[in-house]
Amino acid sequence: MIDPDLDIGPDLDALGRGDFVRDGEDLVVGHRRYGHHPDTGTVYPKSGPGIVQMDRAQHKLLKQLNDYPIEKAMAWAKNMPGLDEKKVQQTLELWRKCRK
Amino acid sequence: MISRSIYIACQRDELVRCLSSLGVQEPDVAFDIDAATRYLAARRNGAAVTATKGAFAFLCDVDLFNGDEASLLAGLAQASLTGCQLAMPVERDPDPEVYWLWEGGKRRLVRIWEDEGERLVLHDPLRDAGLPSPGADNA
Repeated sequence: MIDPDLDIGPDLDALGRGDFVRDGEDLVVGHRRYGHHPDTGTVYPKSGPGIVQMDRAQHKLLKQLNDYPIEKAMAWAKNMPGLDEKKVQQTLELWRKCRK
Repeated sequence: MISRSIYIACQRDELVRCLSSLGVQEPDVAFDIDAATRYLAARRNGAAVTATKGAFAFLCDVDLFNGDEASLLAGLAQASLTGCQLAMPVERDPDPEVYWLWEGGKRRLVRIWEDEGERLVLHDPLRDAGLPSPGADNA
């Protein structure tokens, strides 16, 4: 997931100009790594500053936070295997940034 | 335990039968977060279902407490024999748009896009989409 505080516009511009380094099948711009679909030309973020690695349970928590009141989402998270306090807090932080 | 998000194309009345093939019983087919929290708290197999538009009718977050990947894959193939289409992300592919699609008991690779705001799901059913051939160890 892309941190809402990160503007990836300059990276996309660099990719469009061909201003990147190939590393295997990845495209590297600065310190960020992108995967790409050669057939469609689309790219997706993989790692680097501002790219947040979230696991499946965190993605599901994000969806619950978007769809339901926070109290219900937290009750769900408490019972969801694989979601510890650290992961919940990281997800909450990102979700709150997205709502700004 | 194994958890996977699975898109399903079927009628609403076929959904329970489809999920039953995956090991989820009807009382634990959850259409809201409260029902999903109940099956998780009881440590029972369950599925949290969201309606979608486009190529699939439902997105099911399936949680199997007594299942493994092999049994889930077998269940997906079984469910697809009855006319449903089911799609699940290819776990080991870093590209989040790459899915296995089961149809008529067989699976193939497709690319799936979701507009989360519209809950609109599209997939690319007609071509190989430049994807690598589906190796047996790539599930």
